[in-house]
Amino acid sequence: MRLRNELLVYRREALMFTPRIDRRIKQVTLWGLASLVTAALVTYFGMHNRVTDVGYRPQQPVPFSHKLHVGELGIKCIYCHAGVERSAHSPVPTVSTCMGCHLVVKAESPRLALVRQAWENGTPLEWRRVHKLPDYVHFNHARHIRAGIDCASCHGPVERMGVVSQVAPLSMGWCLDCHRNPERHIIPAREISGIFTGLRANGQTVQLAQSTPVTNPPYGMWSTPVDAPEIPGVPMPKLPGRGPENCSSCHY
Amino acid sequence: MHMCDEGERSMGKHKLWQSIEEVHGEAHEPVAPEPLLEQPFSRRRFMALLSASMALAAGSAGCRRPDHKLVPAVAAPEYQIPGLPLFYTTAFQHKNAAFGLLVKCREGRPIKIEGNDLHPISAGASTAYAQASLLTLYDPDRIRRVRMGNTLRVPLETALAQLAEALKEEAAAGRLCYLCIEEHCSPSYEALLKALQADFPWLRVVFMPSFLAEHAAAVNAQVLGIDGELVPNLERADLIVTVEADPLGIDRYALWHTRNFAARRRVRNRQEARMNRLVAVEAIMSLTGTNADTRLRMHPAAFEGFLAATLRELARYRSVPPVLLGAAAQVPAAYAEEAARLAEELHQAGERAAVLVGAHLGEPIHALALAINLALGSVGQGKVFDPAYVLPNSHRKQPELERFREELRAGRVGAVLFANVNPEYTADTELRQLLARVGRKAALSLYHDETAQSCWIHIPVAHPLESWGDALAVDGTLSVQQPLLAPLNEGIGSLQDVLIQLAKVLAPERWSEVENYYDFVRRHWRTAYGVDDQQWERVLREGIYRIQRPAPPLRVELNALARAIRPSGLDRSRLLLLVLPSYALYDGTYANCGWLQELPDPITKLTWDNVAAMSPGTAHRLGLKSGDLVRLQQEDGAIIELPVWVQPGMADGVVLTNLGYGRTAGGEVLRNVGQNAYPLLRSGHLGYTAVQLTSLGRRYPLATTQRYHRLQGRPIVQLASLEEYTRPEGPQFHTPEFPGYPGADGRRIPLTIVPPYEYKGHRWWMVIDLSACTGCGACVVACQAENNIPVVGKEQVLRGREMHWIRIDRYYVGPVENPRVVHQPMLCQHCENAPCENVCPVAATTHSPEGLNEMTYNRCVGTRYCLNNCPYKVRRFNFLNYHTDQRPPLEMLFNPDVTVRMRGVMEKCTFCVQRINEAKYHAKDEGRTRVRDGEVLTACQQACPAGAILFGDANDPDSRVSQLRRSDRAYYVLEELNVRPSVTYLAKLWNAPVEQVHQLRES
Repeated sequence: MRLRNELLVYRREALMFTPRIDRRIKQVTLWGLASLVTAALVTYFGMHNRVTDVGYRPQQPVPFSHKLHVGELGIKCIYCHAGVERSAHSPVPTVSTCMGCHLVVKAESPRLALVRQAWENGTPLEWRRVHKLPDYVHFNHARHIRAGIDCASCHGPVERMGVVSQVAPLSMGWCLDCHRNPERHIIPAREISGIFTGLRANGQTVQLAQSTPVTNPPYGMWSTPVDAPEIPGVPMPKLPGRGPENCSSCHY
Repeated sequence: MHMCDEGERSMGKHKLWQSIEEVHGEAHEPVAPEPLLEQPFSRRRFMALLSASMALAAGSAGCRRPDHKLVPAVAAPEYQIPGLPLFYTTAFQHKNAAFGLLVKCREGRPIKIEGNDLHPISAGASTAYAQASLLTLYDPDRIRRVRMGNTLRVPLETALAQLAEALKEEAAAGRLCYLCIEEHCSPSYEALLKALQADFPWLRVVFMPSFLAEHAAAVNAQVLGIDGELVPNLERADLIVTVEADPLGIDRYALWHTRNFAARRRVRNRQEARMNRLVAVEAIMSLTGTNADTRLRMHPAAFEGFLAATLRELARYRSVPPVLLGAAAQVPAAYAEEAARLAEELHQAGERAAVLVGAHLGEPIHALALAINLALGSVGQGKVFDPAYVLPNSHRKQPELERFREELRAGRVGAVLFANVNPEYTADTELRQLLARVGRKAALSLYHDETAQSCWIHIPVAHPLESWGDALAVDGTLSVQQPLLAPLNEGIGSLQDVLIQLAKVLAPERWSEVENYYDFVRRHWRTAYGVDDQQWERVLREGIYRIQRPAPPLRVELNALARAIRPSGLDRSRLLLLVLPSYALYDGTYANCGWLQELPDPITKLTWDNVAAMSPGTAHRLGLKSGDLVRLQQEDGAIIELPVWVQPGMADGVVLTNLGYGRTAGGEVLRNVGQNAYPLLRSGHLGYTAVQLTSLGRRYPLATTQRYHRLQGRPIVQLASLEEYTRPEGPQFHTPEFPGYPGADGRRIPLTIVPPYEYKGHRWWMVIDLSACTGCGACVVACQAENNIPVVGKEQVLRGREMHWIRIDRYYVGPVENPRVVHQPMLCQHCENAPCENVCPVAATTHSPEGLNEMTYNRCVGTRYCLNNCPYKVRRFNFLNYHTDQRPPLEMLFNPDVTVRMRGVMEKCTFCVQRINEAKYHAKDEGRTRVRDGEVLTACQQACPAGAILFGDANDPDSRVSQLRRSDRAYYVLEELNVRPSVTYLAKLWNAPVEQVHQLRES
């Protein structure tokens, strides 16, 4: 009895304002917390690149199959996506690249109707972009190609894709994981990518048999050993075999 | 006040001030912020918005952002790789001055303009006008379609056919057709006009410049037989005396003069300290005056007295023809003491001395200066005034304009074509009335400006960056102007293309071989210079072609010179008004360019307005303060209402205002900006006129960028005279007193809890030489172009929200009546111990391992604590979405390598990190591990004509920055705060005797 009375007294003195207001405060706080937690869970699980981007597989206007062209026919990545070893972008091939073969090969195929139309009318094809980084990131393909990193490291096994889909989240954390531990994540350049087919820094092509990496002499490959410093007394930049970790390498 | 008297020996004790208010201790007027919301926000609206956003939030979980398209070309040229820039040379014409450009193009469109390093005039540098011409290329206010009467979208062929019909009618009726052109320096254009006039005898071509300033040409024609202006070569001058001339400022060849002038100011060390000397005599405060070693503030009525006295004094040392001395004797002397000193100095310098006179001053003053120059021997081949260096098309235009007026009055003009001229805005009332009576008028211009609105046909022409052409620089270097992209107005070519098409309609059989202007230019080069196809390719690649011009023999008509020397008769008792082209807008052609409107005037630091500037004495006498509105009225009735600006350093009794403002048509940007000062010119001539001033009793807000940065007695600018500097024990420029220890590079490292950091690889550093910087502002506009910096408008500048990453602070030193001026470019100092980095709650600003202070825009949440903490106040916050209202095609202007910032994000100078990264990639591609000195140029460094900004690697002991930062002129701004900036400033030296030149009092 005495305990119950004490409890009642305790409850009455614990009120801050009137009971109605106290109840309202409790409701608002609990609902607020609940919605915050829900929002956090929704954001983290629902809006991360892992969920929204991985597996994205848009239908393209022209049913181009990498599986056929690259996987079966053996066309190198760099053949169509020429310029990737020099430019920040990996240029999507122009209609003229397609027509280079398709003026002759399968020249009447109904699947290539749009391509032929584009060629004749001079209106470009509008592909749906699969891999897109935000505008405040400046990703540079050429640096990665010259580092000897294969296309499949980030884009996955494109030569097995009928329709291109995104396999990696391409989030900043994912990029940094590789920058910090390249050995664990990198697929070194394979022959199918064409990176090894002797496109030297001065633009000269060499025979396939003399496969050498794109940079000549090699510096900047992900497996480059640490060189002696060029200026005595000034050490080499931090861990040259790794990717950069400072903000302004990508955000500028 | 002595600049550095016995009691104030050490540097840093000069009292620096920035505005009259500060000197007199008045508080700066705060600008009350306006409330954000215009109308009350209703509860219903709030609920609607809230529920909508909740629904959106619920639906967005797990959803993807919208698709982007990848649109490659159909058949792109193989050398154009998306993502890589291409560089093309072209030429820039600022009226009749030219220099070469190298333009960076991305994906087929130009995005950045640089000077052509091979061109002898620019040597890689550029001016604010050249940088800003890129914005005018993508100006959404450019007219796109042909307009005829009230009909838009008339096909060009129709308009030309009708125009040709009208011209033939008028010709048949015996009337003339006049083609009014602007000043140019293009030999091919001249050849085209000659060909047109030869084929069509009823066609006359007349130069219609915005303003006339022909006294120099008049004197040269009478005396030297050269009908034109001589451009001095300041590289050959040790002593330069300017009498209200502005070679470093408003002069058309300011780029060249600044380069030559600054080359002799960059003192390396005490032992080899030799500088040229600039003495400025002026009534107004001009940019050249701010850079002068000695400045004589003088009323304009005294100019010829002063020069006459100087000539007479000079006669004591050198032989001066008696006829000239006799003429000079008629002019009452003024400032005899100063004249004597100057004469001695001139004699010492001999043929390496030059007297330059402002174009707006009368013939007597030009004649006296020419007499002095002749006596010194600085006129001649290989001397400062080389007769081969005649400004193209600088002959006197007055006679032909008079003939034009005569024909107009007589009604003999049936048609007028305006080619890139705007007489409705610039011409006097009489000419405008006469032109209004002409039956057929057509305008060929970029904008639908005042003149185009009064015309029957308006044909839009291509921008110079979209056109072929050529340009001749004063030293005989020809450059080809080639288009950087196909005209944005489909199917309409350049001005010359339109003229050729018109000629084809008028006389098809005679103009059938010439297809277009490109064809014409090629033919002209083949016939005139013998340039074949292979050489043409080379010229296009290099951008220059030297032509040999025979040096004309120099003859001097002394009697004519003597006749020109007489008193000018300026009335000292009246208030005198001078109207000059403005630094930012020049004559108003660039008025629709936001970059130039917002570029602070180098002296007043004003944006978006013109003012009536007057000296503190005059303002005090008239009871006026900065911002008071006044009315200025001339004797012939011309009126202008302007806000007053109190300008230290001006002579009493003189008011200065600028041209280029007050335009009424032609674009959105130029609306309601300033007042039109053209009506104040007498028959279009620049010069001093008497005015009556009445105060209107109202005030006007002026958007100046200079009142927001107080000095509070700190030694932000270090100064010395050359004499002091060369003494062995000379001034020490950076010895701040704080507890610390000497560091490895000689700097004093303060005690700090932060451990030292070793910079591996590169350590980016910048050195800014204050002795070289003239304050022109090319760096400001170049940075704006390179880094996608928005234009914010007058209202935002009033709140202090201008977005320039680099600004030029202007400090006055000395008495209010005649202060010295220092220009200091201020940008992010990339402090090692940055106060901004320490306080960012989200780590949006960090320090790179190479010494850069990085800014990650996407991380910034807009606390603005970093801006608060920055001692240099160089950070800029995007208070509004300045970029979202961009009308097309302005988005083509953006540099794709730099993020475009939106509202709520802080930004600041990044040392052009995109260029640094690019240089590092380039080095790695070549197998090098380091970027070599000079491979990476920041945008400001590249644009600076004076070479005042130098950027490089401080870890490389052989680089120029490494050597310069150990200079004995080096100091750091606010070093005592222990922020360890990465920008070294080199102290400003004045080549003046330690004792100050006597203050000139009004006599």
